[in-house]
Amino acid sequence: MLSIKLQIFLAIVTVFYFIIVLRAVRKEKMPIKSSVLWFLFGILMILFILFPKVLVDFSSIVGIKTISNLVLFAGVMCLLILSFDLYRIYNIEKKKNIALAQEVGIIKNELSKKK
Amino acid sequence: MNKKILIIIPCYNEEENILKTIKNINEYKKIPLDYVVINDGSTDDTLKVLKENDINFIDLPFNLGIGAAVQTGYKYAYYNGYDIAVQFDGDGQHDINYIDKIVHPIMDGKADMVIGSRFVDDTSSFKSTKARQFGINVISGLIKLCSGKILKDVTSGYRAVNKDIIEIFANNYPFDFPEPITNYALLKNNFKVDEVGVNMYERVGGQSSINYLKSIYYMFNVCLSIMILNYKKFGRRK
Repeated sequence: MLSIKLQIFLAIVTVFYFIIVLRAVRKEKMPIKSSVLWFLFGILMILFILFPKVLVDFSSIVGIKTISNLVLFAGVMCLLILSFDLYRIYNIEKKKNIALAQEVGIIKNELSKKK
Repeated sequence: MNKKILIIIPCYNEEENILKTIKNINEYKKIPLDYVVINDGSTDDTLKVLKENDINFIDLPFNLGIGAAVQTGYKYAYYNGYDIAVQFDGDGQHDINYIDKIVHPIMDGKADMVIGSRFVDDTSSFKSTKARQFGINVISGLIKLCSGKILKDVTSGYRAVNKDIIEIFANNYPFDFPEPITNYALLKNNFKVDEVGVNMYERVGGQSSINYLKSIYYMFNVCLSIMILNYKKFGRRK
C-alpha cells in the first residue's frame, strides 16, 4: 500500500501540477488541444492516489516489489517518451528553420541583383 | 551543346582565402562557368570582402553548418536551371584547373556524378593525414561491402552532379557528413558515379572543419549512417 505520507505528498504535487497546467492554458501558452494530454496525466495521478489498490495489483502482476518503485518507474517512462517526442518535434522544426534560412539567403541574393 | 555550369562555394570564415579562390575561377577560361559563394554566417570579415569585390554570393542569416550551406547552393542551381553543379571549397584546397576533367563525363552523359579524387592516381601530391586516410579507407570498404562498388575518395568535397541530382539534392540533402552519405545513397540507387584524379592543395589558411579526434567520431557516424541508409529511401534514378 501507499503510505499515507506518500499519498499526501503526491496529492500536493498533483495540485501544483494542475495549477501550472491551468495557468499555461489560460495564458494561452499552450493550445487547448495539447493540454488534454497533460490533464489526462493529472487525472491519472489523482486516480492512483485515491485508489492505490489498482497500483498494488498491477505491480504484483508485472513483478515490481514495492508500489513506490512502480510509481517511479512509470514516471521515468513517461518522461522518456515525452522527451523523445520533444526531440522529434525539435528536429522537424530545425529542418523547417534551416529551409527558411536558405530561402532567405537566396531571396536576398536575387534582390541585390535587381538593384 | 553548351551546358550551364554553376560552382557552389560554401565558405565559413574564409576572409583570407576566398578572394584568391574567386580570382582563380575568374581567370579560368577553358569552359564558361558561373559561381555562387555561400557565406554560412561567417563571424569574420568574409561578408565585407564579398560585398566589396562584387562577388556573387548568398548570405545566410546565421550559421547553418556545411551540409545546409551546400544545399543552399543546390537550391540556387535548381531555381536557376543549371545543368551541372560543382561543389568547390572556398579555402583554396581545390584546384580549378581540373574542373573540365570533372565536368566532362557529365557533359558526355557518361556519368551522373563525378568525384574529384586524391587517391585514384598520382595527380595529387597532397593525400591528407594518415589517420584521416585510415578513416576514409574504412568508409570506402563499407561502401564496397554494402553496394559492391568501389569509391576511393569518399569524403571529397570536390564533385560535380547533373541536373537530376541537383533536383534531388535541392529537396533532400543530409546536414551531417553529406559527401560520403550522398555518394553511397546515389550508388545504391543506381546512379552512375565516376571518380577522376584531381590535384588538391593543403589548406593555406583558416581552420579545417574536421580535427584529429573528430575524425574517429566522423568515421563511426558515417558508417552508422550508411548501414541505416540501407533501409531508407532516397531519390531514384529516372
